[in-house]
Amino acid sequence: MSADRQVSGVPPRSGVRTAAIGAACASALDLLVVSHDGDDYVLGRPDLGRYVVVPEPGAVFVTALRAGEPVAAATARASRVAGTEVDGADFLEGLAAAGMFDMPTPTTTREPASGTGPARRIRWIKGVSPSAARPLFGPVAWSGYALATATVVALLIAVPPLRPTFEHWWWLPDPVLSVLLLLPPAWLLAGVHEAWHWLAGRSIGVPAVFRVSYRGIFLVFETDLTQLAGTPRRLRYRVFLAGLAIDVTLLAVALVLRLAYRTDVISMAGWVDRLLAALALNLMFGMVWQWAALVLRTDGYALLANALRCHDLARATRLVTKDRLLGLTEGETAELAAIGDRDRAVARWFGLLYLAGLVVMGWLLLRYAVPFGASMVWWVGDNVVHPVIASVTFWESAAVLAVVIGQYAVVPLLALRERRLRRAGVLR
Amino acid sequence: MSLTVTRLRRRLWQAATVVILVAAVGALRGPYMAIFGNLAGSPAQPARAAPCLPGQPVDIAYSPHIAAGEAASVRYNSTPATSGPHFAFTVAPGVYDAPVPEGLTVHALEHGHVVIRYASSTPPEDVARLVTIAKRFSADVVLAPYSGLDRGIALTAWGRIDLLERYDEQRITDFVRQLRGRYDHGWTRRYDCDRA
Repeated sequence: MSADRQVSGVPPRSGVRTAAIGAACASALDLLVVSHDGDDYVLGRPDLGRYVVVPEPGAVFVTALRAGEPVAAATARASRVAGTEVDGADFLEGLAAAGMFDMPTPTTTREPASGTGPARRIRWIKGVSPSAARPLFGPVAWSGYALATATVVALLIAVPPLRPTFEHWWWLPDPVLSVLLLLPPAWLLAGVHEAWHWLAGRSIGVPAVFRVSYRGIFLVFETDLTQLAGTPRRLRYRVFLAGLAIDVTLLAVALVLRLAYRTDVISMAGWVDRLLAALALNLMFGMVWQWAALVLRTDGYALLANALRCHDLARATRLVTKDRLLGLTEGETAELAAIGDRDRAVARWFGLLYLAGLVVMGWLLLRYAVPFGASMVWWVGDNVVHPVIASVTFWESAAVLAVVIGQYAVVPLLALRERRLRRAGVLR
Repeated sequence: MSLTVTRLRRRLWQAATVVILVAAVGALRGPYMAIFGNLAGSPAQPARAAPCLPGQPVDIAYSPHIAAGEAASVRYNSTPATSGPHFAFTVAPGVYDAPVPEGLTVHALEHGHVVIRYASSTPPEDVARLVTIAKRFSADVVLAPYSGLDRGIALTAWGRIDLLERYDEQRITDFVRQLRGRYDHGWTRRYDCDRA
């Protein structure tokens, strides 16, 4: 899920000047959105994915211009709110410098052109109306998500055999088949997670975009929610929590089914039980990751940054931490100074959360990912070094090796191709 | 107030970070020791007697990781195997309808699981009872048919075996309860029975 974009302040200054708004500026004003955000206001160009934080007089000024008032009248209105004279024309120049009056072009618009670009993007569903999405995030739905969370916690505490281990990645006696056949349902789960963010965005009327795309051979789901920055913070929680809410619901279903099988309430094939365990492991790993990998701007980060009323907490935390451990360059010091007081104050302790998250990430990787990965590498390597050409295992291992090596081999080949195209003037 | 920290404070932050990272590496010792154990396999050892435990002890063979192509030439010291060369990956505990290769079940034993195998002649009602036991101990038991048995049921743990002529619930559940988790790339208990 895309996190909030960086926003910065463009405060109005003193001194009144009257200036005519240019035609381009006037038409771009129609594309500006103004929203309230705590003590600040956010001016946004959702079509460009650009947002700036301004004090109240700035928002009053832009709102007046959008209502058709001349610059002088809008400036007077903003001055009344500020309690001092403000410079409306200077403020407009600041907004222009921040790119808020740029005209949309095919390369700057957030809407991708289908079938073009380095990664072909496929619009999955044209749109869902807010009224259709709203029941999924109403009081009844959130009660269901809360019940699912309680069920998961209770089952994992009370029934230890339901806790997945890294062995559950190998739910079939063939390790390569285990991975290959787990991929489609795992992709489906990832798609549902992203789609739930998207639906939550739609439920509050945000024109979010959900895409199915690919990078290399990897399937990618993308939810573009940059326009969320123009909505009140209290409405954003549901969007940030939506992915985890559906994950925990699916995890509860998987655990309850496994418990029902274990207690002879239902019957199913042994492989279905093991597949459910593998999917539960996949979901649990992803959910813990979302809270641990704050440094990667996960859903957990977005939730915390929103709750702490910060605008660019990730950058502030990075700079404060770098200052503490290594020191900052002059440019970085200036950048830190330009970040809001609130973000800087939170960053002073948020770095410790980053550190705690990194320790949990290390534990997750060592406990679940590395044993699996190391065993797979050993197995594939061993089967290629000691080949039995007539066996399926050898060809599976050779195929895995070819795909892995291919991933790395294609990088220098692409670099060489780009250099050739650049020299030929095709690429710039 | 200055935005950046003083040199003294920077030194303190650096020292605190090093202390925290060392503590974190120490706290994660369990997982990475398990990884090393998982990659290295297990050494040969004489049978661990433990007369208080169900089943009979079996000498523990050198147990490295092998490729699929090497499995055909491996000879184990018991049928079914209770230790020895095995594949680098293992199987998840659970119920399997088809035989599971010895290279996988030995790795499951090395992780502390109990493997229950039954001959193809085992009556369906006994297989159903075995499935019930495997479900009850779903985190500990691998249940699968086995072509190496003419009749009966074989219970195996790392370096331990019990062969049953017929289904015996008490004997099976005792074996599972007392031998699950006894070994996990190393003995998990110093003493199996009372020291007296």
